[in-house]
Amino acid sequence: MSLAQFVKNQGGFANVSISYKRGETLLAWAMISPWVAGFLLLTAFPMVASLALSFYKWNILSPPEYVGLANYHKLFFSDPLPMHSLKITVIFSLASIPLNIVFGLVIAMLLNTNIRGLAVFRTIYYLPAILSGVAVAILWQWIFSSDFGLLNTALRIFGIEGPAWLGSKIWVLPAFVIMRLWSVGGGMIIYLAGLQAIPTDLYEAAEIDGANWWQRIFSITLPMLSPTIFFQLITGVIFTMQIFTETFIMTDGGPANASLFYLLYLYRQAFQNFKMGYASALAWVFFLAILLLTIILFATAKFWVYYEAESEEDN
Amino acid sequence: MSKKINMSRRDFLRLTGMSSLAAGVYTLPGIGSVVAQDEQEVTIFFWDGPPLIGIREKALAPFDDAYPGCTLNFTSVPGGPNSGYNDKLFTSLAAGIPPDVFIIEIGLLPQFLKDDLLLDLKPYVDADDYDLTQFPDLAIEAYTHEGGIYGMPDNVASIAIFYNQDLFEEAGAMLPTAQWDDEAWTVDDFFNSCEALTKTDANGNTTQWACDVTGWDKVWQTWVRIFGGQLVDDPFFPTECTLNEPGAVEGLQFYADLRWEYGFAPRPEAMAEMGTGALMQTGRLGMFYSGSWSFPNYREADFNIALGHYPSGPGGRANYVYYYPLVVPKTTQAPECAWNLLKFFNGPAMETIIREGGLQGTSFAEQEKWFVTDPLPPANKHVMLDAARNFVAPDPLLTNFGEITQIMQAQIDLLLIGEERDAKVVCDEIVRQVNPLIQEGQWRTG
Repeated sequence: MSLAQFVKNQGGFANVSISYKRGETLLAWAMISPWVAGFLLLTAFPMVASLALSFYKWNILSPPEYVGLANYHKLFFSDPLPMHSLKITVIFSLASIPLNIVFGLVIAMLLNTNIRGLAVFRTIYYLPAILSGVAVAILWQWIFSSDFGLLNTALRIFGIEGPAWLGSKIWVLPAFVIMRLWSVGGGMIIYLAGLQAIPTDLYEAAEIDGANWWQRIFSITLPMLSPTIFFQLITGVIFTMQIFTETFIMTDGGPANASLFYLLYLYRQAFQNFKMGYASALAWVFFLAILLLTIILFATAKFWVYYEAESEEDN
Repeated sequence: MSKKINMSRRDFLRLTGMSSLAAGVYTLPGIGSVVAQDEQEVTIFFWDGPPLIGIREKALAPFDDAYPGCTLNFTSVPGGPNSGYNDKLFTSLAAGIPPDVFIIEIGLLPQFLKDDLLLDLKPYVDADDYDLTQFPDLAIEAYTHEGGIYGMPDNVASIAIFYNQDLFEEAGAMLPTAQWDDEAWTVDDFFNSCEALTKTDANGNTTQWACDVTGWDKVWQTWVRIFGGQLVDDPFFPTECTLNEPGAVEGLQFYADLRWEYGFAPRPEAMAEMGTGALMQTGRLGMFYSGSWSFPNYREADFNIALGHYPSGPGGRANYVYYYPLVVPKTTQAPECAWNLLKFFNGPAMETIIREGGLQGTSFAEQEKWFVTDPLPPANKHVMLDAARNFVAPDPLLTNFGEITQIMQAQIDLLLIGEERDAKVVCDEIVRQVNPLIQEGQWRTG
């Protein structure tokens, strides 16, 4: 029984003469209308509004004043902090994304074996991924505490005097990279699903052909997992570039703006300095930068991402 | 046995729809309000977090009885201005439904005044012959614009030196003075005390530090003033940053040298986010800077802790006092009730706020009566009252002082983490970056 027929039988559209296809379409729209309304009101409209606002000077308290491209001019030519914060964000991302992909993959491969207590290990590794960002930030603030923190105390056991992780211009970014590694569990689960989807007969055939462990990894596991890695890369870029909570809670951009990530700077302009127009311009430039990066990554995908289905179609 | 109710799908949907409609209609402005027609509701916004949660609300609870016809609606967004409070406040302002009374950071007041958003309280002050001399002069002066008065103090919160009296006595060091006009306790005395308090072990590692060098803007700004410097030429009508003038540079250099030149203060590698409190509690730090909000941490301390003033220098003795205002928007529908609430807050409610909330209070008389006489540690609470009485350094009245502070802070960080050892270099850079912003933030002429 079709949905339209079902509704008809229930008396829903009993007196309305509608075609079968039209009924299905209307019903589908009715079903998704809460999401569509939510998207239009809470995402699409604010996006368009912020684009318009980026050409205005607006502090919320007084009416917006049209300034043309002044906000964009300031962003690119007179305010050094947007490019400084973008540079920091990119450096952090370049260090963090590959490490997260590699660590997530390695842990997933380790947990894709038959060992006792596998479910417990998987849970332990996944646990940090579901903790609140603020709680994690406060926890890591303690771990990085230079005098009494867990990390420096552990280093001291090996005779190493740890740095002031969050109080040093040099060490603050590595501290955030280390911190992000803690939550590789989220990616690990996805890699694990990808690993378990690889047909075992491929490995069996490779073994019969005499392939060693490395050959199986590079010739079967990684190619078969490449769509998953690609997905992790795209979402990783978007997620990592948007780092905010950690620096907002732990360093507020310091010391000396060494951890002033782009979104923190945007937040300051919007909600501390109340320069909504300028903040909107910052947001749109950032959005376009991430969009461009994503498009480039998609363009490279055809060189290294292997889709089994496409391959079968080609054959 | 209960009777089964048979409800068709259509009935269920009708019932759900009607319920949703009723709930939606109830939330429309004016519908569902429980306030009687002859009563005026007055809404107040605060940002109370622990340990103040519930205290101000409790203190203001008798307001409805004290002022029949006014009904208080208390709202608090915990965590301070940047933890959701400002978002809520500004959203309500943008929507045209601001609270009738709200607290703001002093740095935001110029923008509110520039945009003519606030109700002038002077007619109410005059009508009631309300005594403003009970509050710090400079706070009231900062709330004053073109003859109008646009705020009443929420709390006066002084910063003082908290010191471990046992460590001072053991080292034979001069104690920070508790008398504002004391001729002793100069910068030299401070230095000598630091020298006596700092201890190292046989390997040259510091085991006890004398003082804290914090990046807290209000502390380094006080050291600038102690040496005769100023942030700007005139805080009420600023035209340029004067942080690169000799007094200011000398003050900042002295402050940074306490850590990097003399080793009196822990370096960043020995000082973590929670370092000051932990070092103090474990008897490894002689003194640090804070306000009355730190009192609860030292109620159970196993050492004697007391308060003292900053030392005096070429610029005299200095301090900083927070003086955030409570303001009333011009659009309030209940101006009389809002004014009554301000009076009640600074009157009958203040005893509860001081005694149970641990705040310093607003009027000098109440501070003397309730705050200074509190017998619990630390000792010398009158230091904070003295600091408020002698407070002479308001924040520059600019519409963008918050943004200017962010820029100053990034440069000061360089000095305090040892990346740049010459205060003049840092100060010159601050002046270079800040002066254009001062022009941008000017909003009134002398």
